[in-house]
Amino acid sequence: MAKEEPQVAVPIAFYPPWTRLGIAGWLWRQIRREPLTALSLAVLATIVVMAIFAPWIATHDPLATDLRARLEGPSFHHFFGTDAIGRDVFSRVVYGARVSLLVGVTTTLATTVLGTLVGIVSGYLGGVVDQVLQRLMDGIQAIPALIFLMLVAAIWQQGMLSVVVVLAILIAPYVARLVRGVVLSLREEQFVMAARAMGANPLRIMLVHILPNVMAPVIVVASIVVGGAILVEGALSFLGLGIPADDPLWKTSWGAMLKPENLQYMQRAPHLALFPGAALALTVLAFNILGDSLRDRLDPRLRGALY
Amino acid sequence: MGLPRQPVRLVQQARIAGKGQVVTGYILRRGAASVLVLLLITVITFLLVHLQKGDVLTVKLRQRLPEEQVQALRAELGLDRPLWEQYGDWLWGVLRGNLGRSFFRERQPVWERIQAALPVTLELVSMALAISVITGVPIGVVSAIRRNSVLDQLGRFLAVIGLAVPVFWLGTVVLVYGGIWFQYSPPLTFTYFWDDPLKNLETMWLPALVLGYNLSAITMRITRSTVLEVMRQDYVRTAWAKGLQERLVVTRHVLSNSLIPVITIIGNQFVFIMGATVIVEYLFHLPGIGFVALESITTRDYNLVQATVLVVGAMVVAANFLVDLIYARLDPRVRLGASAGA
Repeated sequence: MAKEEPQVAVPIAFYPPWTRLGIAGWLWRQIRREPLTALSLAVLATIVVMAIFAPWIATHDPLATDLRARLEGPSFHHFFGTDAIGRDVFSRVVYGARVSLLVGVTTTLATTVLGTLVGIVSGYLGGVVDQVLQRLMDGIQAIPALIFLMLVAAIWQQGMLSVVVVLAILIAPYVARLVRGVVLSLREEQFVMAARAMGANPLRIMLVHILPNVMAPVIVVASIVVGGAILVEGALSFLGLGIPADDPLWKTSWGAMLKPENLQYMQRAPHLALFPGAALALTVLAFNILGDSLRDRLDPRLRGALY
Repeated sequence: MGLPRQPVRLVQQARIAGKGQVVTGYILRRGAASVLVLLLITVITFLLVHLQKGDVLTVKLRQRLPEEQVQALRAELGLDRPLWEQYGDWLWGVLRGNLGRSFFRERQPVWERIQAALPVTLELVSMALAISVITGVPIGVVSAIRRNSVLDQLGRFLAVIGLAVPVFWLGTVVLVYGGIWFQYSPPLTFTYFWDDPLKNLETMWLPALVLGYNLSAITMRITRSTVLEVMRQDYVRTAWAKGLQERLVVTRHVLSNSLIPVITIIGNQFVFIMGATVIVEYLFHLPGIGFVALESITTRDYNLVQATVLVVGAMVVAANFLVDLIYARLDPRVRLGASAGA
């Protein structure tokens, strides 16, 4: 192969994919090709803006109560109505985006870093290290994340940090297993053999030669972890063991707004149940659709390997 | 080529003779791994519960007991002994079927609570699993075979929604609108199936449906992608090329090869199902394991916490073990491949 390459120095330029059509044309083509993905991106962009600029977008203080305006339906003054103690639901939904996004993104980062490292080490080194790590992962995978998080929240610490740390540890094995599988086949590849023959130490091989080659599946699996992490945080707050509904720092979480002790109010004012849940479902939906699209673009073989 | 036929036949005979052993070996290996995983779970739970600063007495102290009484209680509960000793005692108790006593409720034996809660959860989970398989598998198969048809689009749409809608929101919406439109509210008392099957099913069908929808979405997507994968295989193309009827291609060649992985993946969902049951049981007032877990965790009832986490872990491990066995039974490559390496 190499001998057929022209031996002249060709100036290498990076041509972005929109060179031919112009940015607008390229964007339009992408939107037409995958309208759902474009829509999800738009939804996510909106939610990110909501999260970052929450204080400016919210029309009311999310914690301010107004007992004269309890359980009001959606109106021009209160876009999403008010809750049982007269807090503005729209402002609370806006602030809730912060918790969900932050938990989703940080958990995913931590999970993928941890899972990739463990997977590469386990797959490349093999032997006893692999066996021990595998059994450890078996154990972790048999622990239901939600129940474990409940345990941690109730007897150690309740809050965002423990959610992220625990979730990262509990989800990492799923990433690690996937990475390990890829590494097992990469290990036998010629370029790894070549690196080894040249005397590269295992650490260098793992970081320089193997890591870049597992990035595609890792990115794909990461896009699935985001939605899952957001759902688990919501569930935990729903059970009263995550972010409280009147947290001084985070203000509220979508899950906390749906706590079942408010069920009697929700039956009188269904908008209380609709808006936070819809925001949550929409966010997760957008992440999932984006993940599917990423998978099809980066690594279609993964179809079916993850669900 | 010129190789003698004899040795080959010998090897084949040896394989057939050893088949039983291979299978037993596989079962034993999987069983040992399961036990190891369970032990790991006990250690993790125990450490998590016992390495914290306060103990059950910090909760009880809100009742303002005098100091010497607290010490006496601590000694009585065995909380003043070294950690490994407490762990050993607990594990030994578990092995003999003694899970200890609850710290509250007149020190009721933990086993009684578990015994009352287990059937509820098992019923809920099996109903939800049944719903998910009955709906998810056929829709997934049809969706894959009639790819891009209206049915496929609809099925995929429902599945994507099912994956994104949180169980707790779906449950809440069902309760809210069930209350508004049909004056439905979950019964406050629970009836066991063996006491009054009809009344029991009346309480259970809605929670099972809520839990089942989520599972069904996952099952449908897995089924669809496995069937699509198999349809791309050469032997399916051969079957078409032979001129077989579609019915035969689908049932004999596609389905028989694509439904086995589905079993495994459904089994692997068990760990998520257990998390979701907590939510559903809490929302619908079902006195199952998840409900007991939530209650014991918020009241710091250690023995009960440890027992519930252990039981849930055991259910997950048992389900995975069972799935492995079924898988090995259906797909000989697993048990034979496993005996060679891994």
